[in-house]
Amino acid sequence: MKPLLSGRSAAAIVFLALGTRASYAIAIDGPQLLNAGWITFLMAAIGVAPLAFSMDFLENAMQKPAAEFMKGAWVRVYSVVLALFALYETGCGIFLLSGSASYLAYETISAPVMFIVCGLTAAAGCMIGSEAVAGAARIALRLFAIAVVFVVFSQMSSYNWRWLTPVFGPGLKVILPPALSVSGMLTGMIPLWLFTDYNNRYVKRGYMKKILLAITGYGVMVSLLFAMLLPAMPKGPMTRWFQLERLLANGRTPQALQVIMIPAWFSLLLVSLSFNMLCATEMLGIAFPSTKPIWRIGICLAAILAISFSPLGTRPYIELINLIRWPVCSIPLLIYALIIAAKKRKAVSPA
Amino acid sequence: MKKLLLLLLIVPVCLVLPGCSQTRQPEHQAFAISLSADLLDDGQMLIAVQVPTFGGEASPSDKGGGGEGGEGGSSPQSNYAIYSATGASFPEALDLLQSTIPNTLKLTQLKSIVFNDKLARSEQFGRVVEQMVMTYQIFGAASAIMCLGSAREFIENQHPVIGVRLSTSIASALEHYFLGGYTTLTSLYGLNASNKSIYSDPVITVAAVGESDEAEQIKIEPNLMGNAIAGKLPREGSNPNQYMGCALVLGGRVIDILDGRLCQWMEMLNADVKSVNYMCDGISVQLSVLSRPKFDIRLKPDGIDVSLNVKLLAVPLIEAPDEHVLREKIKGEILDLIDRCQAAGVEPFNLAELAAINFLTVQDFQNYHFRDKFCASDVAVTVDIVMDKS
Repeated sequence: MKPLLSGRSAAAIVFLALGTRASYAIAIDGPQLLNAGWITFLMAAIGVAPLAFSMDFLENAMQKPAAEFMKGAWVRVYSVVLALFALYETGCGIFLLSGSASYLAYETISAPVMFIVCGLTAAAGCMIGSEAVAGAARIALRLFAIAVVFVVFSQMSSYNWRWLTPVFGPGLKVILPPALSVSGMLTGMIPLWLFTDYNNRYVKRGYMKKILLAITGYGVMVSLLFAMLLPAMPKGPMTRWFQLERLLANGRTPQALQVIMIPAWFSLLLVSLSFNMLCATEMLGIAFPSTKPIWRIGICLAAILAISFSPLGTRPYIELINLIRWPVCSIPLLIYALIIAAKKRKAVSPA
Repeated sequence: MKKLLLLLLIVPVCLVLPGCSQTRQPEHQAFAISLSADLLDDGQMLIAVQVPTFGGEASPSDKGGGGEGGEGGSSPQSNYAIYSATGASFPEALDLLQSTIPNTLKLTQLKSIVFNDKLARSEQFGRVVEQMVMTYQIFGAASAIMCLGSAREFIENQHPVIGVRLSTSIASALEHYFLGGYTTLTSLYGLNASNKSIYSDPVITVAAVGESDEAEQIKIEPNLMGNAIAGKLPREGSNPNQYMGCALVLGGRVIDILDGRLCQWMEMLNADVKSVNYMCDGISVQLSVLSRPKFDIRLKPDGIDVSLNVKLLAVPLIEAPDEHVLREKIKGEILDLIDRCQAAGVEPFNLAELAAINFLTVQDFQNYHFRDKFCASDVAVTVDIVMDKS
């Protein structure tokens, strides 16, 4: 059977989508972190590490772990919950993508129109298929790698590592909630793992640890580079607009460089959007197997537009919802892994 | 097939979604290259922009385009128009300006932003800088300049050449002055970031149009440049605009102004400039930093110990000055600079960044009150000079 996603594609898509999501959560939605975003990212990765280890353990322990895991009526509820979180992520992504586009060039176009265009783009990605989205992710990855090289070398003289100090920035009390929230975002790897395995089309096994490590490296690098470019501004405005400006037009980035950075930024956001929408439609497919994909895409499109039109895409909700997301999405899988581990231990231990 | 048709349908839908907005041609935009902001005696804000007029000089219809208190027109020597507007605040004046000039005002190509000294010294300054940074699409890399006298007059008197790229001659001129060490280069965004940060205080370039009465009030010591401050330079030329010296900013407003001589040392100590021309008892030498000037700081609960070591290579242009005299003169000027900064309560030497390493959180660092402790400290300066006798 033709794989739904090859191992390489799955790695590329989850790496880019989640790495980007977590990075912009820190850079744009976390102004209170000051320049301690990189530590926040590390803490978030530690928070989600048991999940990656569990998925790899299940892959090694069982033939089809996701299919086994998804037996029973409650999995429909779990799938719907995962789908809702994925939809929420897509809605937030649309909010940011349209905001970035308006900021850069389309200030005269109304936000609802931008939301619709972004939503349709994500839906188009889903309709073409997961491998197409993954293909776009692989292209974006190369584009991003080139952009990073240009950006780093051309701004080399502007980086100041001393701006990373004091090392804990606003203090652990302030860092912890966003770190848990970013952990919640990184649980976005669960739907991908589930639907690829559930559909019996998974190719490569046991690489969630590696992907998490790669995402952590990516997130920490982006946070460090960003933090070394400008000093922490505890007295500055804590708005998204200001943070976006800090990220894209920070007075240090030459305009020629922005030409390189901006396509990379939009490519990453579009991959992130398509990935989340793809996860949502696939999760709904598991919960409601008799529905046609086109209907699921339509429902998801309506839902993400509703989210992006609502205030749910704003910062206080993002942090709160992702704080809830982390235990809600992780605990069932962690418990399942513990049960399987216990069973295996029982099976191998002498009677 | 259905999928393909649906996909094809999305393309025309996306095309019509933005509506029937007009295309935006370059000649329909007013790309400002310089922006000035003057705080007037009555508390009003006068802002002006210098805009290149494509395909010739500004049309007579541009005159009066500034709305209330506004005016427009072109300079005969260059194809630029000046538009201005007055309002109770910067956003109000900008709004008025945008509404009353014939084209869409674009601030994405700004090269310099000039503030008059009254504004720069006022409590409003930090707020105005922040408002500018937050202004949609304003170019944050534009250099921030303080003008002794009218900022509007200053931008009216600059006649940059229109090159292949839009007036890079302003940026090029600013870099030229900076490399001499007599001015600094601080972007609008950098100024705002330093104002809002926990680290060292920013400095901005000082400029003036011709002879300036405001320059008379600045404490300076004549040296090779005569009176080394913009507005008092003993020179003549077709361009009356002068750049020299830098202004110390504390708490979002200018506290003191340093002349070109002290500015040179500021740039050398911060390793922003590596080499400058220097006069010692009428003898010209080129001074280069052999290694980055090294500040050592030791933090104590009740104060800090600061020491500075400067290693310089002196290359005499014709004859060599007395090494001892040169060393003492340089040491004296560096101590003079540090004293001026300490007296003003300003720490512009990037020492806060050095000190912050010793703290775990921003709050701890802020509670230490590093700037106050620096200003109360004695700084030990040693100067090592290697004379190039080849």
